[in-house]
Amino acid sequence: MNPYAAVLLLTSAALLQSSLLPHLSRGGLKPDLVVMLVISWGLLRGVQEGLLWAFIGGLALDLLSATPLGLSALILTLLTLLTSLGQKSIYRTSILFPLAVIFLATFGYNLALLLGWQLLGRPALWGETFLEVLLPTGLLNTLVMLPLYPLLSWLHRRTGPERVEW
Amino acid sequence: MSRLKGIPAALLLLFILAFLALEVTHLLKPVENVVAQLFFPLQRSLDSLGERFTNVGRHFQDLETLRSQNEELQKLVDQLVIENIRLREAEIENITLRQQLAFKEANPDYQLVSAQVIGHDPSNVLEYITIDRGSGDGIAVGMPVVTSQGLVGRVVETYPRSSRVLFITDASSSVNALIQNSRATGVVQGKPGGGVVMRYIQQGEEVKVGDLILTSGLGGNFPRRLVIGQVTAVRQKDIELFQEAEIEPTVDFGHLEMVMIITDFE
Repeated sequence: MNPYAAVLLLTSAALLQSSLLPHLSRGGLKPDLVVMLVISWGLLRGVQEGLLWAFIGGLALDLLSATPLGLSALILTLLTLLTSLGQKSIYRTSILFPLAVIFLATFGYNLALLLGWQLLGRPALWGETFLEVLLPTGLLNTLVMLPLYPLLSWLHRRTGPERVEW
Repeated sequence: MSRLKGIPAALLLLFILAFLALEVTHLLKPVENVVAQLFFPLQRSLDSLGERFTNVGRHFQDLETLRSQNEELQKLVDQLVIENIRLREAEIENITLRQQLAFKEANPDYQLVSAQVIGHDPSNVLEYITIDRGSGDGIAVGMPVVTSQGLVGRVVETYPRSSRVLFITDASSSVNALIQNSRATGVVQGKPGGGVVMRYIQQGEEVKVGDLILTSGLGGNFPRRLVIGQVTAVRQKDIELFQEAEIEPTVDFGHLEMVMIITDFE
């Protein structure tokens, strides 16, 4: 996909995640839309495009968040490197594979965010965060992924792989 | 027709004149009556049929008129719907501003700046909002943020035209507080999932479900007597040094639209 289109899509998703989704959320939790888009695209397109999306999406999240600039981008890049390996998996055509990946990836993203934030001096209540935030958010993201992944697969087929030029 | 051609015109005229004479003398009346009786149903049917044709034509005309009227009415409905939404929004804003005004009147010592919430933190593990007032509006780090319902949090970062506010529900937030009835003090801290808990309440102090929790003003970061929430559960164990109380915040953090920043307080 054209990098400019990726910038537009991921910035819009980040804005949506910080403005509209909190109003629609139940129990104070909202889907990690940008993380889901980045990880899914990495699965569908492979590591090269996945990394570009991770960088753009991570920066968009950092700009709208209280997190230090670059923290989300770093976490997303590392997660994309890991999960994009799944592109070669023989199971990737099954919907269950991306669902499982998204659960683990979003869980890992929030965990790493909290860890990074704690290293910078912010207190973290691990036990409560695990039960009240990390686990429910992972499940919520997995549910949202059910309609989102087929949509992204369609977009993947429509746009076709493209050489990414930096 | 060929036979008729042979009839002279004079003979035809004679016939006509004879008919006229019979008509004038009413001698043709019985014949006319018979003919009228015969034609009446036919006339009526034909007239009705003509009427129907006229009606069909009128229907088409009416249909056109109705269609254009319908389009105009639909436009009007759309305009009214938009107007209704705008009025409803204005009404909600009006209610919020009235509540803010009442809060200001009840707290004349506070210098307040009203602000609109323009964004939430995209992460689920952090409880922050972004507001549309910044250093250019006199906002500075550390200023308390409230609504008419109670304490929201404090400003932690400012930009020229916006600021970031840390909710009291964030795990890194701590507010010195007291229980209204018993005057027992403690610290209200945020917890994951958007709740708050009051910690470090001395053993022996009376804490009841339903008690109101207010800011104590200790430390000088927040003014005194700002409402934080109500006690929903108490955790007391004799082997521990302190008691804890679960607090239900009075502010609905999920639906915040407007807030007030206390820029100065005594």
